[in-house]
Amino acid sequence: MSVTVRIPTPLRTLTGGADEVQVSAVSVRALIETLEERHHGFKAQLCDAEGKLRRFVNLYLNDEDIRFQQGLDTPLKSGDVLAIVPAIAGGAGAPTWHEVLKRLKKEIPEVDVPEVAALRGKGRAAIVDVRDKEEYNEGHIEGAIHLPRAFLEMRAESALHDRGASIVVHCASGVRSLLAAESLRRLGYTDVRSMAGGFSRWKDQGLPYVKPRVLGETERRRYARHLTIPEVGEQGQIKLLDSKVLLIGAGGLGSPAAVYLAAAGVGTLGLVDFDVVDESNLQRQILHTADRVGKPKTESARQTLLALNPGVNVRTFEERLSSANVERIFRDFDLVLDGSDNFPTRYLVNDACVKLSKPNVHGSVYRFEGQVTVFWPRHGPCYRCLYPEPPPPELAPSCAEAGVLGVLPGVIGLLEAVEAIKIILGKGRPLVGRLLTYDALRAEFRKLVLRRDPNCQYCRDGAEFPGYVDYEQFCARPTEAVTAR
Amino acid sequence: MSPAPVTAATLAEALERVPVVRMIGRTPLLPIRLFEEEAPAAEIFAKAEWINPGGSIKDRPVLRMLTEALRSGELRPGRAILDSSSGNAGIAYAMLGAALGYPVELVVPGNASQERKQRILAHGAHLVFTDPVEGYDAALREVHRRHREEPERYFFCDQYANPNNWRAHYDGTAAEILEQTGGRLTHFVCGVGTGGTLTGVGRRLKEHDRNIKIVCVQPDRFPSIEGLKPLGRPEDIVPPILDQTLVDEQMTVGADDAYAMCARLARCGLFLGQSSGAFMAGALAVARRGGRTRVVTIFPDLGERYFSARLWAQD
Repeated sequence: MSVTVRIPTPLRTLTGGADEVQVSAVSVRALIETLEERHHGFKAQLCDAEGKLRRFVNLYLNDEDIRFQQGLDTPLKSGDVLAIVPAIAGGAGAPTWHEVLKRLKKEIPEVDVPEVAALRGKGRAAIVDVRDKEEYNEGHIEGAIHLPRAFLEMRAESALHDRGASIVVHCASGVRSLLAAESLRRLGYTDVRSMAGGFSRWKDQGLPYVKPRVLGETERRRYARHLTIPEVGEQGQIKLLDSKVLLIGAGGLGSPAAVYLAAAGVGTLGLVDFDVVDESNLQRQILHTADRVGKPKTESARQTLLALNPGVNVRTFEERLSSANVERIFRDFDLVLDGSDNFPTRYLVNDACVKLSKPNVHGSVYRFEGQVTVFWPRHGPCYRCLYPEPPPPELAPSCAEAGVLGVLPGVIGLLEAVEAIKIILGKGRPLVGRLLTYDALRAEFRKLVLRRDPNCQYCRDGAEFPGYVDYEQFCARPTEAVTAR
Repeated sequence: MSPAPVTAATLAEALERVPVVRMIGRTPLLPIRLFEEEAPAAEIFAKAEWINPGGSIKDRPVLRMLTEALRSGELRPGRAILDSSSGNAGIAYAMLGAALGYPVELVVPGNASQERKQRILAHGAHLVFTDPVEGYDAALREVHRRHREEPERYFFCDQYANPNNWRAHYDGTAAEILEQTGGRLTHFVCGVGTGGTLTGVGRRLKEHDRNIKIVCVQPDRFPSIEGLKPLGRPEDIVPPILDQTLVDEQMTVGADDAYAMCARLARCGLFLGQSSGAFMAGALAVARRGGRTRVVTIFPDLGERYFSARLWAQD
């Protein structure tokens, strides 16, 4: 007594997608019980709590409504066809997942992994990875645009500008990418394909992928306020953590810069200073404390910075910067922040940065005035474009002679720190070719344009490096940032 | 004898002249004072959409979609109006096609109710049936297939993707609600069939006052509620014109709950269709939460449409 039961689309989730099932039963009632045994949940869909056929559910036995026969007691015979038909035609024709997949497979063109690799190699298609963040972090195709499916529609426009461009979408196995491809097409992207087999097939075929670094929970908490800024975010914070900044001098400018750079999570901070903490330093050099007077500044700085952020790698160079050691010290760092206040060091820093192509964030202070700029070799002028040679010693006073308002190196040192962070993140417009001056008494900031000297001995295009110059015995008095004992 | 087809040139005059066109829209907003014991502080209002000449809210979007198509020339003499529908929109197409002088072809699931099928045929429209077990999607596939095969023969109105669907509600239904409430309301409750009502009304209300909450009533998957579409599962196809960002709250109302409300309303003298019952159940659930709410909902059609679906069967 095998009866064919036709299953309406909304109930096919219960039959694993099948549109028909074969059931042996003597009556409709018995058939429903058998269906329930095989596919739990069926009975509740068809019958109410009292076991009567639900309102809005019609059962047609060979095209006759069983309500007009013997209801649920209508007998069945072999070869009968029983159709379950909702009384309501509209609306709920939601297809089963199986059907959706079948349709998408038909509608969305698929490309196989080797073809995607070839397209990528030639830059012929944008690869879009729609997997979740956790999956992406486990490894992804280099250069792929990460657009998690949950945010696809919201972020597509900003990530994919050209609606006519060739796009290959992939996920882990090739299913979600079909759905994502359909969404992109709905947004007006015309050439969207899905990578068959997804990232797992890409890996299986031995194609290269990268595994990005991610932040741990502690770092995520510590840098939470950075992570919410779109210009920083997780990738930006990772850049900061991976960056290495060298501070020339742990004095007035170096102190505030070092404190904030350490707080911001700059992973490696190098400090070059040969001096010891003097009582007169404490008026402005906030790295140091009264109980450390007489100790080396580098050690004092290390203590302060590690107390603030134990995650920072502090490397100290308790030596006088000279042509003999400058390249060895500079080599490992990405960026130099010059907080020195004497001319021999400035020239040495500049020359080494030109030779090694490192950005040099430069600041200086004098009484109530300060200035800051970025000398970035070949992106803008270098220090020697402005001052090819140092001034005569008698015109170059040190802080000890000239005096400085204690807060002022704070302002300028922090502006240097901001520029350093911008350069590390690659965001904004660095202060290259522009000099920002601050006049504290007038409360005025000004910007002056600095031009590259096409004939600069050091940084002009194609220039041979002319060598370092040690301006020994230059200053009228020893200076504090980098000085001999 | 059907009238000569209206064209872009004669459209303005026809909109004035054709009786059923003049009767569409400007429906009353009914204060519903049946639930004062359950929700004493709340005020509930419903738009009486069944008084449209086609008997449902669908007259509004269908008129707008057809007039815009006439204006643009997409609908012109020699073409037939084509779409899929399970009922009320089909009646609106058939009625307005007849009034404007255009043949109408509708693809409907075989289990569309007798009342609807017979009225559509009475207006002279052509019906194509699809297998009811395959659900509404079979009708959607068939209508797309027909259009693909003979694109020149038809103006395919495509109510699920036609932006003039929601614009009818933005300019009409929502504007009337704002005028009739003095712009003071806290919630709007309705469901999604094509998404036209929710998107059009929701947008206008949110622009007027972004604190107005849009509550979306959703049916169970089986058996469903006439004109409503379940959403929320990944496999559910979201109608292209639906703007889901407008929805502040989703609320599931089953066919049985909708029926219980229909029966209750009938005992109070309001004889309404299944979706009206579902929306009213949703509106009442909002009102019951307490607070000085002003809830507006829609009564899309009348109970007469559901005899053959056994909405009112007493067995």
